[in-house]
Amino acid sequence: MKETLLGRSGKALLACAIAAAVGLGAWIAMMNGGLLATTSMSNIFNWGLLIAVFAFLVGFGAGGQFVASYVVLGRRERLMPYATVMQGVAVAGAAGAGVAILADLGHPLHMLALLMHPNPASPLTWDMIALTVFIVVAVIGWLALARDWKSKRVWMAIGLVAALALQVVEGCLFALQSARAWWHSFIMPVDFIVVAFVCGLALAVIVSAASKRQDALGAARSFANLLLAFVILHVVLSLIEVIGLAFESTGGAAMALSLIGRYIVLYLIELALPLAAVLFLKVKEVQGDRAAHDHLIGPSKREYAWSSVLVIVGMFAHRLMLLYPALGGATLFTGLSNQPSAEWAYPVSTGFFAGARETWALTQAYLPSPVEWLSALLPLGIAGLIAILAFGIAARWHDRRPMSED
Amino acid sequence: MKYGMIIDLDRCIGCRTCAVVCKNHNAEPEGIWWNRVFASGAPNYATAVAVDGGMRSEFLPVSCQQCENAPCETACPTGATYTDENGVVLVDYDSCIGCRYCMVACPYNVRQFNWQKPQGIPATEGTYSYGYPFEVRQDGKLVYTPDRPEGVVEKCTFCVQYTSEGGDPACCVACPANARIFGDIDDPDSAYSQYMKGLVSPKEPYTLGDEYHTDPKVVYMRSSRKADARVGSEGEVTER
Repeated sequence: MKETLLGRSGKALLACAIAAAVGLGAWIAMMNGGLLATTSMSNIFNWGLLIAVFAFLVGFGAGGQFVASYVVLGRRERLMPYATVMQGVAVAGAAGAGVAILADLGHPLHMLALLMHPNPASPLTWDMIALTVFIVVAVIGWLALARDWKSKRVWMAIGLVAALALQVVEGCLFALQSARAWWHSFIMPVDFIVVAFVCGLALAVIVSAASKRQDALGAARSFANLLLAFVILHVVLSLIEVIGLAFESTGGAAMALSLIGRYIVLYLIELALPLAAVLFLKVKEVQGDRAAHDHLIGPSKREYAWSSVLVIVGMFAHRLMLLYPALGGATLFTGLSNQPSAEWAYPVSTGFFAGARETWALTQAYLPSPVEWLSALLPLGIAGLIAILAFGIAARWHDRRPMSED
Repeated sequence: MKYGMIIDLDRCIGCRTCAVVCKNHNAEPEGIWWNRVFASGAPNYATAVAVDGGMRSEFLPVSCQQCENAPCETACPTGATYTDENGVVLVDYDSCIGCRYCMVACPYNVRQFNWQKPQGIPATEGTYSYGYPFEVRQDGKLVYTPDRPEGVVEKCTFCVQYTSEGGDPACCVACPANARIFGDIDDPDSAYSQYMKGLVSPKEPYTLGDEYHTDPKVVYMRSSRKADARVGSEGEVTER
């Protein structure tokens, strides 16, 4: 584990710090310049890139915990060295998600109102509670693993429950909104759990593939096999959702389907890219096994890593696709004197009033502005910083432990 | 007491006076419209649509539906959106954190966000402001201010600055066709109740977006108009 010492991580740490600083600068520019001038959001598309990044990072938070709990509670001794790393990812992902949601608020100075008068009926209140509890539990879990507490299995069990609760609440945050046909489905919370597994396992494959441990390839293979199962599950759930929409025959469902068509490339990146990547690994593994354990034929470390990177790219596309079909168009459909009409949407006041932008519109094409992209570096950079620090500190503690095995 | 509004679609002439007067009296910043008026089904404003072999145009004003079961109120994490004792859904600008979850939750797309610091309107010298000029607080909650804070959500309040003094919303007062009727749903003598009592067939009330189970307090009167004219294949009007 000496490879993980801060010396080697120094450059990555610096890169994350610079990214976070650039993101902070962009966020300050957004706040000062006004969101209308600096972002591409409107009253139609009112949640943008930062919300996608929030959901993306939450996936890694819960996913890191899922992997760590799976390894420790399942007594997967061969994978044990990766549990602490993934627990650090859990802390980093959740903390980064917290930063993303704070940065997305229009009036963050009013946050005291959330602490003083929380509305218990609001899923967003429960989301904040679930995220805060999860961060606390994840930090304790990380300490338990890094310091090798006797109670570490208990903390991994508590962490698993906290991660599941976080993903269910997260899914309900979207699924309970009947105004958005794309979200209003019981599949949403289930898929949030599945996607968290995908994110956590994909990162676990990359971490194990990057490791210089002797059994690194075997660990990557173990994680990759699980990854294959969860990617397939995500694809199946997504297709069920689309089929459900097709049979809904409401205006909202028709709008969502038409928006999926508009962003079909992104949707294919979400579904086909990860599926192709994990199937590629599986095919190479099978070929390798047939060739009597010839490691030259099975997937290399590089192939494991790059395939998992493609899976993560797909999951980022998924988080964007969480928004496009739901927020890209109007939600009120009405015919003459309220005759049922799935075609007649009612225009929305966009908030735009100058230039060539439409004041009233039925749909809005959203492409995050350069400032929005830069502001996303704030939560991503902070998550990276925390993950690398957790990695380095745990490694140091591990090396100082008497009778270290590594 | 529970305030409600009736919008009679037979009377609405689509002049958009309600939208403009609403914007003016409520100091709605640039780009923000609490009230919208569009012709149902028409691709462009004031265009007729083909129905039952004829052409027909019907204007549909849409603002906050003041839902009894308001999804925006449930969604709001801070309680900034609340229903007051008159049944009006309001926003406390001091408590709104600008998360925009209420906008996501509203099926009527009536909620508007202050994406930037509201600017005054350019004038010959400097800028000028418009709207009711004083703050209105309800139990300490800031439910109206002409100086709108940046980063908060806003929407129709049934003109809380006037109704709290016993008046009617500006859109009802200004409507030239008297298409909007406002009053206390629980008071049998209110304009609202009197209108409902005098209702004769074929007019019948309906609410928007019943599939969302929001139970709006804005009620529409179904238009009794038929298609106005028959149009031939060459576009000529053949029957009236």
